[in-house]
Amino acid sequence: MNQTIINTTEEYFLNMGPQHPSTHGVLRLMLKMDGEVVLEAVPDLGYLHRGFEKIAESRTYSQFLPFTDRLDYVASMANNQAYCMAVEKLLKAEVPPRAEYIRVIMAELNRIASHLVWFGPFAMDLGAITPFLYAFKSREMILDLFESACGQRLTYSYMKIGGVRWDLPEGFIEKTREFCRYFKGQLDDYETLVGGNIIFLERTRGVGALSKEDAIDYGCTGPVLRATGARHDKRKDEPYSVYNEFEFDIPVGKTGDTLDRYRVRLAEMSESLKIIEQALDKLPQGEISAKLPKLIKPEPGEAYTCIETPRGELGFYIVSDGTAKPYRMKIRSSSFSNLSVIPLLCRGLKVSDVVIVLGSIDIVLGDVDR
Amino acid sequence: MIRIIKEIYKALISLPAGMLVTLKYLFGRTVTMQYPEERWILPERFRGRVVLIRDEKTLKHRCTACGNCLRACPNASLRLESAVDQNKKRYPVKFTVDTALCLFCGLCVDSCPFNALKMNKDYELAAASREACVRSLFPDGENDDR
Repeated sequence: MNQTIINTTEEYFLNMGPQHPSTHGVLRLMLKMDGEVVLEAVPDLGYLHRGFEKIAESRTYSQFLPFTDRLDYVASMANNQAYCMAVEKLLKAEVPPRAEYIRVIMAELNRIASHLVWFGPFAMDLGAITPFLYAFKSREMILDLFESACGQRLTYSYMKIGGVRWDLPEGFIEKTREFCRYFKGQLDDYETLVGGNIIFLERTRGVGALSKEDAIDYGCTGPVLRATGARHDKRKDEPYSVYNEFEFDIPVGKTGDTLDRYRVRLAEMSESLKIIEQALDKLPQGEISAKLPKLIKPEPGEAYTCIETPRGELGFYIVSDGTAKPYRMKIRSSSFSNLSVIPLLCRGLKVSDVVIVLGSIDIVLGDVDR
Repeated sequence: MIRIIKEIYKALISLPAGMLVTLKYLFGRTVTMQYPEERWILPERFRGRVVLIRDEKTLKHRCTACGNCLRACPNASLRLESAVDQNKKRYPVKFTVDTALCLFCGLCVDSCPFNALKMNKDYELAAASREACVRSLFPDGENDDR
């Protein structure tokens, strides 16, 4: 046989997803491969596109609330909060302090639950099944708390424009305190089980390192940005709700690699616990909702609010033309921006590392496609 | 050389440490539930299928077929056919919810001025066809006896 033919290798195309368990949803990655090494990775989106921005134009302001649950379905409380805050800004409505505190408690509990959904499957991407079970066991406790407060385990619709829909149920505060105590021990277990494991460390250290400049250029927010060392958190930088009344730290990483993203998220969970405990101590009595008309008709104008969800900055931009329905709604989702660094991070990696990097970015396809 | 030995030592320690954690849970309480033999205790506020409430005193449905819930529904999952009784009061004849469209948000319950709706604890709503997803709001499929 001709010697040149034997020695020539060709670049080839590898299709990963949309039905791939490690893409965490319906994401398709088109990989250009040279042997085992990825030369180029291009995400292909749109498999979960439901057109929520357009749907919003044909729904009244209160009717759109259940749809926000389905954006980032792992952290629905945060979506509810961001949307309600945007409409409240349009209406210039004041939210009662008790409602704000309840919102913060719920949002932070949801942050822990969301990070647990990330933590378990991330360990599973690396081949460890046990942490997944422990993470979901703790998450179930949070979901039980949510279920007692609003009757649902995933699509809460707990907040409403002007406050929250129901007051905290009986025994909620005690159960939340109990969970906080329990979860502190759990975090130590996770650290021993995963964070101290030599296989985990070797697989993640230095993989998919993202520089601070690149992270800012690509519009990354949340733990992906903070892992690079940028101390940017909406809860501290532009305190919304009642976050300025709590003491908590913003964990940051150094190198921006997969291990740093892991550490930042685990540290964030314990910071969230701090916030929850302070909020439970300070929880004021009073109204849970502002007095607003049944049919909400804001003045013509526009409003943009953004909050820090577990995945980063979630923004709602609403234009009102004075009718009961929004004229235009734009949703700025963190997962979408964070996903855009995938082509940059995956260059030169092996396929098994692509899985880890994608997992560490923590995307929710409902949030990416909207 | 010393560094390598240190790393090997660390690795040898870290694996049994993780195993100890799992061993701790091995003798812990079971958390899994043998569904469907065992069931959850659902909280008061559980949002299942929406149904009409029958008034305890008059034994009639409180619904006046005003249609507020239909307007509040974000996904148009409710269908209502009404009639007028001898006292010239409107009442629902046929009231259905399409559980395939329903978002289980509870906005219909919130919008009802007569507190005639509630969400029950029915969560096993899988059906074999789209037609079977359309369920009556009258409890147990009965009709108003007016």
